[in-house]
Amino acid sequence: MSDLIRTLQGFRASRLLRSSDGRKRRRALDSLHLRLESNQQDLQAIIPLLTKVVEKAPDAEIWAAAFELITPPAQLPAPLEELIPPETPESSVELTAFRAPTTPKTSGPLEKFTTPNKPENAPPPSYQTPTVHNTAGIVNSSETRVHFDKELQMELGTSLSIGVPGFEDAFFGGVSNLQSIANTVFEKCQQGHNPPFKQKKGGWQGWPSGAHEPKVLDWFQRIMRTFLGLAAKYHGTPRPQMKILRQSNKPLPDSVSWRKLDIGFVRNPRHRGPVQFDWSHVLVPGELKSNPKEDTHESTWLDLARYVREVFNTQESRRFVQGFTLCGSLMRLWEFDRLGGIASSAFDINKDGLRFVSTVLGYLWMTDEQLGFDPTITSNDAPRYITITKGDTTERLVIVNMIRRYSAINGRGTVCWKVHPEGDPSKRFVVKDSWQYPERDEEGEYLLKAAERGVDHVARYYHHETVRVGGKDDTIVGNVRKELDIRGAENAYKMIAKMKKEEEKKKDEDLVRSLSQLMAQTTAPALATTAPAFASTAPKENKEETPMRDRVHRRVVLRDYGQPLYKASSRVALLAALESAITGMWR
Amino acid sequence: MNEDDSTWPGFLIDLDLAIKERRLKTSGAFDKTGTKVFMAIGALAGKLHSFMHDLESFFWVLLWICIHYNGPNEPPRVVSRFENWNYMDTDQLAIMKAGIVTKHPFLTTMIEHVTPYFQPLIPWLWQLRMKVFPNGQEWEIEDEGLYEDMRKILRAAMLDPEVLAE
Repeated sequence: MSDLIRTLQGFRASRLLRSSDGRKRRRALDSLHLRLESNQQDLQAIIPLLTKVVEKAPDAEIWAAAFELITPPAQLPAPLEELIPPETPESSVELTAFRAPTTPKTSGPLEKFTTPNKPENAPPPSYQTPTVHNTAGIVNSSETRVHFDKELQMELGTSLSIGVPGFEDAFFGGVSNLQSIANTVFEKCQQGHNPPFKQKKGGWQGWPSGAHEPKVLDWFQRIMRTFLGLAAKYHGTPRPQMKILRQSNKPLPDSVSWRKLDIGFVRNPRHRGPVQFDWSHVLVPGELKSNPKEDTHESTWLDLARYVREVFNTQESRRFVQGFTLCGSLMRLWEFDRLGGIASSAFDINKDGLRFVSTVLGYLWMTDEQLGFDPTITSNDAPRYITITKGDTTERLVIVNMIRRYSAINGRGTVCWKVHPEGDPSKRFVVKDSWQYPERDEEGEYLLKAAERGVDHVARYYHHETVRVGGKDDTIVGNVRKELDIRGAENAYKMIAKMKKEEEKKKDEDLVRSLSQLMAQTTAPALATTAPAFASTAPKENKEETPMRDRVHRRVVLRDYGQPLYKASSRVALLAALESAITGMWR
Repeated sequence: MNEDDSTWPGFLIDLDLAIKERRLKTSGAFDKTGTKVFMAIGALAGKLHSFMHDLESFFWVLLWICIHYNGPNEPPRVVSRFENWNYMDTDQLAIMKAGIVTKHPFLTTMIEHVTPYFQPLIPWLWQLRMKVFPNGQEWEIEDEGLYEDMRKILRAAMLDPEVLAE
């Protein structure tokens, strides 16, 4: 197969084929070839092409089959299915529901690519392209899903804590009037002729039994509209900033590998009319599962973490990202930052109706800062500014563009921007933000020293600071997580390990029992000696406790900017840059 | 890197990974920092930081570029056996790298994997390897002369007609 693609690649015709976006087909063939080589291509999808070749079909048909194979699904005509606007004109609050289409679209020649009746846990779609962005520190990689999950798992590793006491206070406590609004709304939800919430009749009325994803989405949208209507009626609430809309089963664009988001709160665009939503609009991603048991499954958390990483990647001024999982009617609230993730305890939305009301309204009423955006960086309208504090005065730097970023959740989260001082567009500075372990020496101090000693070949110092948010040094433990004590929580992976261990132990006991039964019946001496070994195969618990960690949000401003080494315009330029960099290191 | 300014073609931007010279204690930071594929063998193996590791990193950066880039206007390629370096644990990668810098594996690697555009650099990669890995092995004694040795090789390479011809 690989050879066939290679042959096709070699044809002049492949160079002439262009897709609607002007991308050269041959490039697409190249990527298909790559996917084949790395076993990423779903072989099923290739069968039509192979059949044409084997049947010695006319060239035109072979090309047509090849064309279909390399056409990415993003080109499918998939219009947004906007919902009717919410009833209260005041509130444009909505919830995004990206979900599987209930009816397959009219079929065209490309339709073979969509698999509308795909089972819930189907493998990633075969058209997944090799990716462009990189995880932190992952270079020149096609980032296959298997690798990626392994890496994500290692990255989050032991840094997920769940059941953190005080989680809601820390992240929802600052939302003004939330408790009183939620109380009123929940009270009203239990009154009237046909109340939405009946404690004695299983909680929320209309909650889909079985909790199938599309039905939960419908229900979620309806109930949110109810909450908003009630909140607006009794409180004259501030204008919320989020929006509901429904998209067909189309992965969000601008994403590493077109990951599909189940549900999420997105920013409400200012203009009216159809909007193409992408990851840069997602404010609070969510993950839906129908089985409540999945609340404690690693795969659920990794799914959410994957979305969170997309959000971090497309929104570089994020200090943290909030999210939620809803497994059956079990809800859990999450927060991810550069130290990993923490989560609240789980609650049943049908038993604890008030908590559900205040969660939903809380997400809708949070300010940008409460949602996790860095207030020292303006987010929307161009030109965007970064504000720095030099002594007693503040200075604004105008963002020209972003020049580098990494995409690990748990890590330094380094982002660089090319900027110029406000009012002086001729100058070029670089701003570099990162989350450093506090015990590491400050990079800014080195740069300052280098500048004082007149060291060449080290980027020229302009300014450094610890970013301050809400009047405090921006640290994860103290500022982002509001001093929450995660030692009161369970480490998610240890919890899984414990569960596995108990299962293993039970299996071992069963095994020993059946072995001894067996031994009682036979007199085989070999078995007698191996039995104790079986009994001790349970995995040993890792006793090592990780100390409390923290990261601090540091910002360095340099007078120089450059390009990555690999962008050198010639071999000599590359060597010169390396030579110069070595010189800079030596001094 | 800033090519517009000839006195200033390269500068270091990642000083957050810089560690004061001849420091005896490790920083106490929790993680091994740096992009894994560019890390020195000793750093991957968790040894105490040395400036020798930083110099060795330059070698890996150059080798990586020569394998993945085929000229200024072409996009990088993915080479599966090197892509895997991203996903190995650090100990495995240390062993892998130590294997590659020995004489024959290094030759084979260069011949098979350096892109056509960077093939003129093969003799110079070879020379750098001889300095960074004396006898094809990881260094044992810190040698400040390595800075100058590497710069000399890079400067000589810049004058090589084969390298200049483009």
